[in-house]
Amino acid sequence: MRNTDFLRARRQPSWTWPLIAGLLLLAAGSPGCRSKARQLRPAFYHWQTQLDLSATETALLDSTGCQTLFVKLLDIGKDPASGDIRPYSLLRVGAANGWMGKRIVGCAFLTNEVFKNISAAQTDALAQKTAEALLRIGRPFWPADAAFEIQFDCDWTGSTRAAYFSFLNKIRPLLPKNTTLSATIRLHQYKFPNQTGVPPTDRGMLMLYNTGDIDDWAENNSIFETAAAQKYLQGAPDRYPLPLDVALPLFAWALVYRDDELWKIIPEPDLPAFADTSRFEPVTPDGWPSGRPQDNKMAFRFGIRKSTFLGGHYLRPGDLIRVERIDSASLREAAQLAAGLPLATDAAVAFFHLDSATVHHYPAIWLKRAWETIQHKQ
Amino acid sequence: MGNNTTQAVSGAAAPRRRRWGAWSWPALLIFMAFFPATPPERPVGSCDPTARPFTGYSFLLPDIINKNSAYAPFFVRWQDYYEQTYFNKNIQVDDNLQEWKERFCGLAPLKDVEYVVYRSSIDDLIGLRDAALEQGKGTALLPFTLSGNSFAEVLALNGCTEAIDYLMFAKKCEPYVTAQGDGWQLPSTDQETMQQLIEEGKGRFLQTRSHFFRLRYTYQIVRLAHYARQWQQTVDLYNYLIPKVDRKRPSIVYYWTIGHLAGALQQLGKIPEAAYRYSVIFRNCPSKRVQAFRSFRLRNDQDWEKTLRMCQDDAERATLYLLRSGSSHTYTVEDLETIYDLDRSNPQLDLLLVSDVQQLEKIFLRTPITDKKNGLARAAIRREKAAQHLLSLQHFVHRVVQEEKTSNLKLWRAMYGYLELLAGDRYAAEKTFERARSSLDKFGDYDDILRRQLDIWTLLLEILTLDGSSASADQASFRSRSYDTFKAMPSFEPFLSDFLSTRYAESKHPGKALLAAYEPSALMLNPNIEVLDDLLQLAASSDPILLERAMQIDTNPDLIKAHLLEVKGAYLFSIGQPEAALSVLRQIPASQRDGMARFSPFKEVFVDVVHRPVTDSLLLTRQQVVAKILDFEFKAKAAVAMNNPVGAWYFYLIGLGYYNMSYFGYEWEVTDFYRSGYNWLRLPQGPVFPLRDSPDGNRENTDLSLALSFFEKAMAEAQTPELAARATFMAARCRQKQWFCSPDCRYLPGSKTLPLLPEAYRDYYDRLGRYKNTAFYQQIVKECKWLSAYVN
Repeated sequence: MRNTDFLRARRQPSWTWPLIAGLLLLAAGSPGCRSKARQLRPAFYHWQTQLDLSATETALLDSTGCQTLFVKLLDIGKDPASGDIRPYSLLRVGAANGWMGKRIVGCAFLTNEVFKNISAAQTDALAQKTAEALLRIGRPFWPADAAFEIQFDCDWTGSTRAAYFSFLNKIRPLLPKNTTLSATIRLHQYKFPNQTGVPPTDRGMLMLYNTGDIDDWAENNSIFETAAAQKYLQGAPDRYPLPLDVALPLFAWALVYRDDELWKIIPEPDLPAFADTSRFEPVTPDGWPSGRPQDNKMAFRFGIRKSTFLGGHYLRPGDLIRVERIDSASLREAAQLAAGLPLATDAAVAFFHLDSATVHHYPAIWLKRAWETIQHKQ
Repeated sequence: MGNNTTQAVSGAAAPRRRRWGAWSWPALLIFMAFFPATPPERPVGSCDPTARPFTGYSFLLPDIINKNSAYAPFFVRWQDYYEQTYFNKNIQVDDNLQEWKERFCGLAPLKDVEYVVYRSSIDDLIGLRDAALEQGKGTALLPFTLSGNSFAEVLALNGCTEAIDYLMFAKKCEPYVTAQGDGWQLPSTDQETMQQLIEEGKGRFLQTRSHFFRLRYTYQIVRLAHYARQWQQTVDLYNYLIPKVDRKRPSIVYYWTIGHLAGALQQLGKIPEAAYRYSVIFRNCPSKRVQAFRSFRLRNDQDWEKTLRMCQDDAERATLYLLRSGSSHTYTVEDLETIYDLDRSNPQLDLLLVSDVQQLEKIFLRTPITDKKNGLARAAIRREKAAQHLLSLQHFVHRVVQEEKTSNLKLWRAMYGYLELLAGDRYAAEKTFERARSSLDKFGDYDDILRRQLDIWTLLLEILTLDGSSASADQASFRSRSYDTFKAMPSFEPFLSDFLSTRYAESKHPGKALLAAYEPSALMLNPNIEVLDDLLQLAASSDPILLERAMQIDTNPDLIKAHLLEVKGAYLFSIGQPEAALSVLRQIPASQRDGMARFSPFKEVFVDVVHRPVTDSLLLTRQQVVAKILDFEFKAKAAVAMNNPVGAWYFYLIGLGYYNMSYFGYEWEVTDFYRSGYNWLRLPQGPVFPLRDSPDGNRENTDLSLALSFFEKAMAEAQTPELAARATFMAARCRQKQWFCSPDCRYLPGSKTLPLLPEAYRDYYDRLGRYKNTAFYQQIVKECKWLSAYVN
């Protein structure tokens, strides 16, 4: 962009224009000018069980120019009692006005437990049922013969990798031929593709969050910390073997610790409630009263002063809470890190996730800036 | 060598091995008995999939709670007992059948009622209705599938078309209100048909005289609306129909109906209204108690206050308090007091008390060793907060015991003693246990259970009085282990280990403390001189009972002493104190020297392997190795003083020995007893790495500065390019490993790529370029293909 301005300022003679145009065309194709060639797509994840977008959610999509929605169609888990693999939730599709005209990527979340000790026959059956369910639930989104994408989300481990990858291989022929398959990639899987494997899909969605240990009270912010994320990114291979999209965090939660263990996760807690010092007492990371909200802007720690309800859970004195959220600065930092990633030329930059709290806490301008940070650095 | 590099690294990361040198088999067996436990291969950490969750010690017998208590499964946790015996039981069908049976004067057995109500087809019911219309014409008209079914006969003979019509209607509703398929499809919500059924049901309801069936129609209609996800319609239908039902005779179906009402109210955001109804169901309807418990939800304190105001009597309020505590397993003394004040003989208070004490014992029976083993840092803070809670609970339990109005006074008396024990008032606890024991009847199952519980607490009290500074503690602890009460309670053994260890540590016996809480092999993972000296002192004592028993052998004390000295000597040697090491190793009794492991650490091996690649006829014990090193050093210094070129060679040999005996060398076992290949992957975190069941982690000898210093001396004194090349090459290897251990290193051992050395660590590889014309260089470059990448 700066080059073009410069040329315009110099008022080149008319004979030079074809040459300049040719040079520009060449430059556009060169690695040094990739921003012209890449067309990133802003996107959101929808992770609820009912797709019924409110007017404010729709407005957020429109104002960020979002044309792609990653929608969770089903959750699959293993019944701990019976051992049966079954869906725990199936998407209910409500009014279409919010998502009509958008590109919907159907997502399936599978717990890692599903792939533990699974037989080949069970994998076949799981692939069959999952494909059928995805196509049935996703029918309203995908016109006949249209190409679409399906994404699988599973935090696979060394012991389940073979089974999960086998599942992915088996489900592919059960879906229409032009279906794009993608899989979520955790940061450690991104850093160590040789050790963790690369899923047999067409694309990968790198989840640029969950950088910390949620179980550890001493952790500052387990959703996202730049230094922690950098540790994953440094030393990672220059290129991931799949075309990469990236997901950025856009959520808050309160983690409740009881008896030294993470006891509950309260999504999108009522933040103003913590101002009530008769119930919530600011504490230090050591657990001692601090007299004022602690840590950085993203995380706050509290002790419970008297028994109270929060997010539907009854808490008692002695319980400890760490509130974690993503603010504009951390979102910007995440975007800056994402900008340095080897993303695909048509990468989706997806915010996790869209709901009423997101609309309330995250102005469209923040999201646009984050997206633009990535777009312009590419 | 490119391949060699890979192999070498893989080999280094491969599982460790032990080698027992020239030991005879009997000696080996004794040694293995001496160090019987193999430390776990996997390191500790949050990613350790085999990490065992520690939930705290418990000395409560599950039987002290009446397991038939209907509320027990909701408040008390004893493994999955209640999941197995309570939550999976289908009492809804049983209770419904009982009502049907009673409705028809108990004329038919339950199995016949069950067949007609739950298993008959719509065709069966049409046939049954035809037979009922021909009332009094016998049972000959009954369809084949119902012939001989006495309940069908009762319906037919009495012309009970109202009952049959209801069953037919329920059968029609069934596909729309029950889970379909295998869960891979959303339940069908055929709104049109469901609305038609609702209208049909309303019509039938109004035409039905029996309130037994009116209530059941209400249930079917309200359920249909709920499953159709028509929340407001569900509420409206309930409000329209229920007032038209005479509910003088209680029925479980009423509670089933309000379950659907509560579900709809919750969807409409009327959380307190829903919660109140769930609490009513929880209190009155065992067949829906589980669902009510799981659905009970309050968002905030305002919801709670509003729900509380809806309660019509103290019993309902008490239930609400119980649900609030139970639904989140959050017990507070204030809640217990409130429930007690509302309903003093409420038997569910026992459950809350036991649940609360289950939490407290986890906190107060922890020791510093427990925390060290399980890695918890905030125990002190929790203990302080829990102390206030414990005190409040003691006051409350004392009040209940004094007032004698609780339904299970014996339990509360005993629990009061246990609370005193947890509070550290052992004298008072002992007296209270005595009083509680004397109040028990000689016969009676429950009294026997409480007596066993008191036995457990009394033994716990005995353990808590052990004095770590006295030798009698060892004897007393072994005596405690022999009791049946001890063996019957799984928490006793680990608690005793941790407790004794804490006591020994307090009384300045670090060795005994370690052996009490950890396997003997833990001694070698990160040796500690104070620990070893304490144990050596113990080994020298006349009655080394703890040592021998903890070592799980009872054999020659010289053997024990020899191995403690060997661990100490190897450790001193590993930290660069060969003189001190030799002095210690020389104390090994002569009778034990023949059985010592032997090594050959002075061979030139230029690839990174952790196995001795060649056998050697000259194998040395650790003592001999140390002596040899000292001898080489003496000779080297003497030779250098005389300008004899052999001095450089001796320096080189010493460096070679130190390198080979390090974590990176094939003879690592001279200075270490446990090497984990996994630590290759995290060298910058060392030299002490976390390891499960190890008090202070696992120390690896990764420091090559001593080896490097001798190679540098060899380089300085070398008078031939061949020796200089050798020393330079080994020095370069030291620098490469030092880079691997640097916090800045991003190279991942195991990678197929060559590690790129920063300039600061490349000095000796650069210098090696000077010796390209030496025979050694020509030879080594053939072996190490990667060398050309490093050497300019």
